[in-house]
Amino acid sequence: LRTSKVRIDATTVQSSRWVRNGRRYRAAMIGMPPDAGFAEPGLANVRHFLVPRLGDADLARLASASVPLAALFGAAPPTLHALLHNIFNLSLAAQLLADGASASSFGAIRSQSGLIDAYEDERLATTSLQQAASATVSEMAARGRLAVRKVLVQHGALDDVIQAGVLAEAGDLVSFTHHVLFDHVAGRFYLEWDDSSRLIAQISGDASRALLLAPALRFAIDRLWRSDQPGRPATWAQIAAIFAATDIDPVVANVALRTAVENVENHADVEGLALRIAANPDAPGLASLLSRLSRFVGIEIDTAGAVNTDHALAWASLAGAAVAPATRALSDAARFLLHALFIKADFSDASLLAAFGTAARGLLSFAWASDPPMASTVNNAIRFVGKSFASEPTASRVLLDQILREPHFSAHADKEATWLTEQIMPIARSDSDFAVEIYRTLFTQKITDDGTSWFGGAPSRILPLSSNRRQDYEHCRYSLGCAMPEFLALSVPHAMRAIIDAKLGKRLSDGFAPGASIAVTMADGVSFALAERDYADEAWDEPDEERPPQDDDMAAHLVAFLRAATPDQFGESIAAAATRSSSGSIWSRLMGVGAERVAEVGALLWPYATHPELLRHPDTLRDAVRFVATAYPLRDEATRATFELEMLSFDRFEDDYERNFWRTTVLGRLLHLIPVALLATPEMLAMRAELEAAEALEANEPLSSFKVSWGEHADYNRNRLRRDGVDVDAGPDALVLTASDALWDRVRTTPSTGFVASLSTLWSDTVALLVLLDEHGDTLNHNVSRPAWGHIANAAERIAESPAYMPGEGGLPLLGTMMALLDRLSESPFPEVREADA
Amino acid sequence: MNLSWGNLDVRVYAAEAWVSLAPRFAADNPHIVDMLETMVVDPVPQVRLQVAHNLQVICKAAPERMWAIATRVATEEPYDGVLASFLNGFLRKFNWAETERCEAIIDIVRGRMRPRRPMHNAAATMSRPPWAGLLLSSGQVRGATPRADGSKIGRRIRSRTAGS
Repeated sequence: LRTSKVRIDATTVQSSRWVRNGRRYRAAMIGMPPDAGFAEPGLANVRHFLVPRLGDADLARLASASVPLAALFGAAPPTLHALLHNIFNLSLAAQLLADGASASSFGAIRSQSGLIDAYEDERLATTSLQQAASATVSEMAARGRLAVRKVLVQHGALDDVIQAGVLAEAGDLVSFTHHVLFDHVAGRFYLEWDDSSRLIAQISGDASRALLLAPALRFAIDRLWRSDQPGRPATWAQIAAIFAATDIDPVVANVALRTAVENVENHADVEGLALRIAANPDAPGLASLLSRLSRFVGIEIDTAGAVNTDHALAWASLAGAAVAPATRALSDAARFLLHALFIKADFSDASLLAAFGTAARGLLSFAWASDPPMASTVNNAIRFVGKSFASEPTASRVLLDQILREPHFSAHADKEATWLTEQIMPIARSDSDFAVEIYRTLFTQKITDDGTSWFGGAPSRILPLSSNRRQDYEHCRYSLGCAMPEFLALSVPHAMRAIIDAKLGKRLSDGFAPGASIAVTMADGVSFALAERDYADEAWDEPDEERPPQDDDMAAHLVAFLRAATPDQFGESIAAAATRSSSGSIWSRLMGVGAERVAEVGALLWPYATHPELLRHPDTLRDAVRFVATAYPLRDEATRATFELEMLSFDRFEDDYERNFWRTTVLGRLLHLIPVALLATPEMLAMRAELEAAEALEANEPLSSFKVSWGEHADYNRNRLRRDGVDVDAGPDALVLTASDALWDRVRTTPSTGFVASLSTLWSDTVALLVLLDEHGDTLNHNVSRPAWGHIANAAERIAESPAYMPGEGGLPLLGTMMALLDRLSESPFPEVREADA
Repeated sequence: MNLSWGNLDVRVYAAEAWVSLAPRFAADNPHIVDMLETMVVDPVPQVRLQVAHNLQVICKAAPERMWAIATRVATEEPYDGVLASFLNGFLRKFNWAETERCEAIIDIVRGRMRPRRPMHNAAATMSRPPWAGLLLSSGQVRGATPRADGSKIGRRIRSRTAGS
């Protein structure tokens, strides 16, 4: 065990870390802390006093008691001031002041190492004293102890070092007055930081000795870094040599590496390492060095919560250097570095974006080409390329486009598409056409494989969670849906195209035939094709109580956008919907919201909403009618007259069905809504009278709608009966209801493949209910007796179809009994004859 | 109209039960065949469907009555859905064993098919009787092949139709 202590006023000062983790320390100092206010949590049985970091008030008190300290605090730059809150550092500074140093001489000190340098320069002022201190470290290192007998230190100036206060003697033993002093003297005077091979020899081999020197190595690498040339070639060479050595403890190697990582400030600081990678990517230990470096960088960025641009550029450049040789071993570090930056870096700086993008594209290309596959790296790299799309839009698109194309798509889209769509907005901001293509493709194509896929790539032994490839794929559509508001804000024409293409594509991928489309040609030559009915929710403006708005509902996002859009944006939306293939469900929303904002956008929509194809398409009819009726009062008489005469030209339709549909459904609805006073032509007035006489003016309801609700049927049914005045708690209705519900439960739990015993129970329940029905039949409420007879029929059918049914055996009915029951059931009034059946 | 039914539609379940009993018991109990014959002309198509679709259940017990009932269905069944199910469910089973009887029944059905008129492509698909596929696949009828989609765009409106 390492023992380090300084004597201050006869009190033993130990690093709380050692006390906390050292069982023998704790045993040696058993007892109660003298002051609970200065106790380390968890050390209630150790007699100790915690010396906390000094506060500003402490320093102020010291300043008032000591003029030199007051001068020091006043002159200290912020970094030194922060150092002086540590009592050890403060004690060094106080000793230097006591030795005659002036407060201004501390001005250049920026680190603890600098402060100790100053202390050593003062106390170990001669080479002889430094040699004696180094010889002491050498003996301590050789023996793995921090206190050795004085006679072992073969140097004549040992007593002078003790006299200087750097070493302290305790009887025949000598030790450094503080363990940090040991570390610093070892790092500065003992470890040969200027001679790589000798340094390697000093820290390799025996683990306990190496670990004793590990903190010293930190000071040594720090010193090497400060004295190094731009690019830090010597430091990186030294660290590379440490990682290439085979007998250096990993903890020691990590100390050296971490010291370098913490010193990196900008791109130039990693050039030496980048050059080493380029020169020999297969160098021994290099992959391990880079892997650990990337983790340290990750920890550093995580701890700081952010990364500044200079740092980020350094790590992005290094990631690029690690990707460039295209070796599997180095790609891990690149992936990790890029991921750390992906999460925290601010990519508004062009040079950072460029460096990140280059590395990301390199990583993705490499990972896709790798064999065996590197799925996890691919997924990460897709996100990186997406995020840095703007750095090189063409090259990025060429790469990411592969995700959408067969055969790659079917093999990998369940894993890759989600990551692509996560970055849809960075992509859209650089290349909106490609973003539209992503929407179109991912909604048109799909993965149909229901094969199991595991969360995390493989079954977990702790909590195995699985999905399937189809579900995994569908998440990409969710991301695209959620991104739509942002896309609409970015580019209305592109976002509209994306919504329409996604709608049309989804219809295809849902298994609907493409169907014929209907050409819509406007007077101004604009022309587009309206897709076949897609059975989209016509009542889009009616809230669905059972289903709250979904985050990925693109049509709902469109409606919200249109309601808030400027007239120009509304016009852009219309223009985008009036190109190429279009969707009725999009037009219905344009016209529906247009009806709400008719004063602002009425003129824009009028030519479209009055087009016969939009007026009679099942997806658009309702909203076109609504819009026209709302806009009617704002049109002048000539416009209305033209429209009305156009509406009455029935001869344009080929057959009776279409003519009749136009007359009753389109005109019937329009004339139901438009006030008579606004009709501009006698012909239309006559038509209105004709329809009214025939009771053919109809409300503008959705052509189709459905509603889904859920709950326990029995409860629902009883509540309904109660509302109808049926006594469901007592009396014949209650008796039959209970028996009927019980029989239905029995039917549901008795399969036709069941055994005779279960069928027999079913039959006895059936008979019991029959008895009740025969007894009370005339007095029962219709809504009680009908389900009862239905359940009897269900039970009879279940028994009849069962292979286990042998008439008269096992409690089952004789065939005659069964047929008699079926005769009765065959005369039931249910199902009732409907008009359409007759 | 669709051919769905619910669990409270008593006669539908009764018809199913008669159908289930028939293979095992109809030979000794002609009442079962009588009931099937009754239910195949029920006023509600969902009830008729149960029998028409499964008429083969009496092929052992009463083969001639079965063909007589089949002929009546082919001749009189008013509802396309039931007729389609009859052809696909029942008649298909006898395609090879009773080719001549099947052809005779298909001839009856063919004779009842409405003459086709040109119409919008999707409308044509929708209004084509669902059992027409069987007739085509059995080689008995050659219907008009669908036209290319491209030629159909907008042809519902004469004023906007060019050359179609």
